[in-house]
Amino acid sequence: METGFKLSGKGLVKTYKTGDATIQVLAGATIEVSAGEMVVLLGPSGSGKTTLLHLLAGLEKPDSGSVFVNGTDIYSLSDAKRSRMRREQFGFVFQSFNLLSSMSALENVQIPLWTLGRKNARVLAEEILERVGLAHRIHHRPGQLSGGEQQRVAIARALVTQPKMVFADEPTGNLDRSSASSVMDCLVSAVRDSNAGCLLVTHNMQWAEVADRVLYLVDGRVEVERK
Amino acid sequence: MFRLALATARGNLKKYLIPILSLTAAVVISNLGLSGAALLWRYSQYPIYQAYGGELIVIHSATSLRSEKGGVYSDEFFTLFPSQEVGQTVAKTLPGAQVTKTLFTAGIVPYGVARVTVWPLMGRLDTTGRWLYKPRVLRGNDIFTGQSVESRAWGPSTSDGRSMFGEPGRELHLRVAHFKEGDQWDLTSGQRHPYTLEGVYGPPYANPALWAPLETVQTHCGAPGLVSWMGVACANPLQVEGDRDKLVAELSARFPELKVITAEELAGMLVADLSKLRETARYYVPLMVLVSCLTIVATTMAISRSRRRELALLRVIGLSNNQVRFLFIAECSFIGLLGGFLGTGIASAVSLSLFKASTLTYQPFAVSLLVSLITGTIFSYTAIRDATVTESMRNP
Ligand SMILES: Nc1ncnc2c1ncn2[C@@H]1O[C@H](COP(=O)(O)OP(=O)(O)OP(=O)(O)O)[C@@H](O)[C@H]1O
Ligand SMILES: [Mg+2]
Repeated sequence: METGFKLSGKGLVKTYKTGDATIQVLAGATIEVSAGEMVVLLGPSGSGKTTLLHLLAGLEKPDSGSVFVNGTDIYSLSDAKRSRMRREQFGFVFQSFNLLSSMSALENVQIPLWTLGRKNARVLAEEILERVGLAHRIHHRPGQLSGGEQQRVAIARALVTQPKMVFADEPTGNLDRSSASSVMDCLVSAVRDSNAGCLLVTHNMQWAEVADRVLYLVDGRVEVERK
Repeated sequence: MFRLALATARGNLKKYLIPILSLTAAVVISNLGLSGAALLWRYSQYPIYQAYGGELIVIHSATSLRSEKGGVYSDEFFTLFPSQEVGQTVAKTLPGAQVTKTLFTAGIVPYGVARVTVWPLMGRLDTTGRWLYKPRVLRGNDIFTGQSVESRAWGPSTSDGRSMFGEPGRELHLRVAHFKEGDQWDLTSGQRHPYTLEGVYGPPYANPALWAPLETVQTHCGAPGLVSWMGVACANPLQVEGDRDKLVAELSARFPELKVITAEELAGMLVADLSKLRETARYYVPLMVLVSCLTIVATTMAISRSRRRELALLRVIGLSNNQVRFLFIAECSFIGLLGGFLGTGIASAVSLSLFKASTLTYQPFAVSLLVSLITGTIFSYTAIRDATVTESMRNP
């Protein structure tokens, strides 16, 4: 249990240009997530939640501000090193299309292990798929799985490498109520089991209760929940 | 990485099928175009067309041949072109005319991967059925190993033992009755050699690589059988037609198998053939190379589109830009490689059955691979940028 893991973004600014118009999506957002912590990020559509997540995950460079992982500014690293860090320490679950459509569930879950050069990829993948309740679906391709099942495969893939940090961007956004709650239960318990930090983006207030902390993204800044 | 590439390739094989097949088709087509061009070049190199050097050509095509299973066979002994007699007749009937060159038919025998020329057994029966020229191996090269045949079967000889090419004609104890498919020469050395007559060869000692498929020569000469010929330079090129008639009148009684054509007639056949080929090759080859390049570009573009989301996903999972690019380029080259390979294979098979010669060219293969690599590399840079990654994660 590394309790030392800490992800933080400081003074993050991001502006998009489309034609003549510039949209400032983030205007100095600051956020911190530690290992074992479940943080829910709420905000209206278009407020920049996904953008913030991309910045924190090292996928997109901020215009200004920095992202630190255990004190290291990740954008000072080379792409190869940053990718390696992402591969070793981060897991992702998105709203939809998390999986490679040409591969089976089992293969999809193995991808991160392959890229890490792990030997027992298949065994690990089978184990975690069983834990998310998909033991009987491992050879199905994404097209042959329901939306909820696909999301559970994505959760398995995100967690199979035992990451320190899991990013989830509206993982239930495309699901009906009942499969949404089963997917969310699955995600929360998997994250809790692995003692990873988790940043969960949603605009559904309902999930706020599972969180250790709830944050709002308002006018490009992160604000602590005021109840 | 390797497991990932393998799984990706396996999963996408069906998606690749169409691009691979269209690339295959493009490679086949451009390969055949290039084969045509190669053939054109070879036509121009035929000694038989370079060497006639006269206005009239006496064609000897007596021995009937049959073409079977890629080889040309004869059931008869080859009769020798009566060059000396024809030469005398020319001197007698056409004052001032000169014999320029005499070409004989040789067997082109596949020998390993190469072809060697073997001057076939030639004989000539006189009217009483006696051998005027005894069947001889006129010349063979390395097919006959060692001292045994090369030294002993050197050069033809007439029945009185004189040499035709200034070489000592020596007796050889051959037992060859008829040539049939699969027949073998039984030489006294005890060695057996399968015999197939594939083509026609220029003057003795010319470059053995320059041989012409017999069928082509037959078409050009309008001769049904084995072709040998003699060029005759007339005294007055304006009276070629008249000279031809005289010569034919003189020869037809003694050698009904001889045919006399004018160089113009031959040139007409040849030029018609050549220009047909050249026209096709000229427009066809660059067009096809272009088409196959476009196919590759379109394919690569389609792949980069359809796989953009998946490539982005790999990037998110933690592959570096370069690793994702590598995967993408590997995918494109795989398609280029397979398409090029299949195309070249099919094209060579087609050209073998079409042109009776494997005029295999590697350019389309190389082009397809190279273009795939280059476009793959270019598109890998446009498809995999941080902006496109985050964009495609946002809008699946
Ligand atoms: N590449 C881009 N170019 C221009 N504008 C962009 C780009 N990406 C995002 N935006 C804009 O940035 C703003 C924030 O987008 P983002 O996806 O982060 O919002 P969000 O909070 O995740 O919204 P949602 O809840 O609908 O997913 C939006 O107004 C969007 O139009
Ligand atoms: Mg979003």
